[in-house]
Amino acid sequence: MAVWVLHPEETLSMTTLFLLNSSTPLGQELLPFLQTLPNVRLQLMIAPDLEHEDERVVHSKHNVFLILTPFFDEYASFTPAYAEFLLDYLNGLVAWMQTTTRRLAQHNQSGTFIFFTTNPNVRSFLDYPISPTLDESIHALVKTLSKELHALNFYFYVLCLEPLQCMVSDPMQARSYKKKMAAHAMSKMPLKVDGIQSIIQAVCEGNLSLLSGSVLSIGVGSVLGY
Amino acid sequence: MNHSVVLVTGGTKGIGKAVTVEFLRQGAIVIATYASDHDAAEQFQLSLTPAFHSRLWVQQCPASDYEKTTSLCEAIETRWGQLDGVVNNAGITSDSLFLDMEMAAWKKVLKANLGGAMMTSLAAIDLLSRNRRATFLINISSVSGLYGRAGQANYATSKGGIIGLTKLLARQYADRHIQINCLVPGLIETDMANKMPPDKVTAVEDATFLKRIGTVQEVSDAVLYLAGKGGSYMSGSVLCLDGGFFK
Repeated sequence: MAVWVLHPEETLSMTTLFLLNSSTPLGQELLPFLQTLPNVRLQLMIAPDLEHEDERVVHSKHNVFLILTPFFDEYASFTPAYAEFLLDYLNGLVAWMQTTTRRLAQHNQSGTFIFFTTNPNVRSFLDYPISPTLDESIHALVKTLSKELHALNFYFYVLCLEPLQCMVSDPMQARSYKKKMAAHAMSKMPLKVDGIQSIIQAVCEGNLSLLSGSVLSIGVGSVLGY
Repeated sequence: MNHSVVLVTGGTKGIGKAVTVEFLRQGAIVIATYASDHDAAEQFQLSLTPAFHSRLWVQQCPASDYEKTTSLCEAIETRWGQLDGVVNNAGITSDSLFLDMEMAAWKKVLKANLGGAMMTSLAAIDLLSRNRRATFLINISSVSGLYGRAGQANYATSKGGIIGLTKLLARQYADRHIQINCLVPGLIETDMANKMPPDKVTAVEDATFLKRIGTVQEVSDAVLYLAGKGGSYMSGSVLCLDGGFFK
C-alpha cells in the first residue's frame, strides 16, 4: 500500500486548507497564522454545511481540513437538551465528512482531517470546562476512519488540546483559568495558540501522514497530571 | 445484591440478558428494558426459572427516550422506593464502510447507543442519588470505542462517546456515592457475534491473546464485580474485558 507523503514545496503549491467552525474563538486566533502559510488556499467554513457544498469545489490534489469542534462545558450543561444537541452535532459533522470524502475519493484527491478537541482525561483537569463525551466520540471516529480510509489517502488526526485561554469566553473566568492552566503545565506556562501552529504546519505539509489515527495530546505535559 | 433494585437497559437479549440473569441469581430485583423486540422479551421471560419471575419486571422502553425512561424511574420509585443500580447496556450495530454508510444507519446506531446511555443516565441519576446506600452506574462500551474499528464508524463513535460519558458522570456525581465505571468488552458470543461471517470471528480470535471470543457470563461477572465491593474504589474507570485483543 502506497503512503503518499508530499514534499513540502509541492504540497504548499497544491494544498487547500479548510477551516471549519472558523468563527469560534480558537478559529479567530488561528486565522492570522493560517493566512501567512505560503501557497495555501484558505477557505473558511462557519459550520459543517452540506447545502453549499457544491459551491465549494475542491481543486487541490491535497486538501487539509482543520475542524475546530466547539468547546462545550459538559460538566455545566449536561442535560437532555445537550444530549440531543450532541447527537445532532455529530450527525451534521459526519454527514459533511461523508459527502466530502466521497467527493474527494471520486476525484482521486487526498484529504487530511485534523480535529481539535480537549483532553477527555477529566482527572487532569478537575476545574476546567470539559467535554469528554464529545471528545471520546470524535477520537473513536478518527481512529476508525484512519483505519478504514488510509488506503484512499485520507489521514485523520486529533490535536487534543489542554484548555486554552481563548476557549473561555468570560474574561474574568479566563484570568482565573490562566493560573490553573499554568500550574498544570510542566513548564508552568499555559498553552498558547502559537504553540500549536508548528504542528498544524507539519500536518499541512503532509509530513505526519504516518501518524494517521493518532490522538496527539498538546499541552506541555499537563496531560500527565501531577 | 439481595433485594437491590437494578435497571438493565437492553436487558432481554445478548449481554444484557446474561447481566439480568446474573443479578437475579444474586437476589436482586431487575427491571429489564427492551426497545422493540417483543418476541425476544417474551422468549426471555419464558426461559427463566419461575423463581425469578417475581423479581423481574420487563418493560418496553427505548433507552434513548428520556421521557419514557423518566416515567419508568418514577414507576420504579413508586413500586420499590429506590434504585440501586443502572447498567447502560442497550446497543445495536449496523455496520458498513464509511463511504457506503447510510445516514439513517449512522443516526440510528448513535441514538440507540450513545443517546441511550446519556438519556438513561440523566433520567436515573437523581433516583440513584437519593439512595442512602452506595449505588452504581455501569456503562457498557466496546473495544471499537477504544481503538476504532473499520466498518463500524457509527458503532465505534457511539461507544467512544460512552467512555467519555463515564468520565463525565464520574466527575459530576462524585459526591453522591455512585460507583460510575465503564466496561469495555471485546467480541462476545452473542446473537450479534453469531451474525458475523465466521472468517471475521476467526480474525478476531487470532488477534486476541487468549485466542477466543468472550462469553456473556464473563461479561456479567465483570458487571457484578463493578457493581459490588470490587468497584468501591473505582470511579470513571475503563475496565477492558477483551482477552488481550490487540487490533
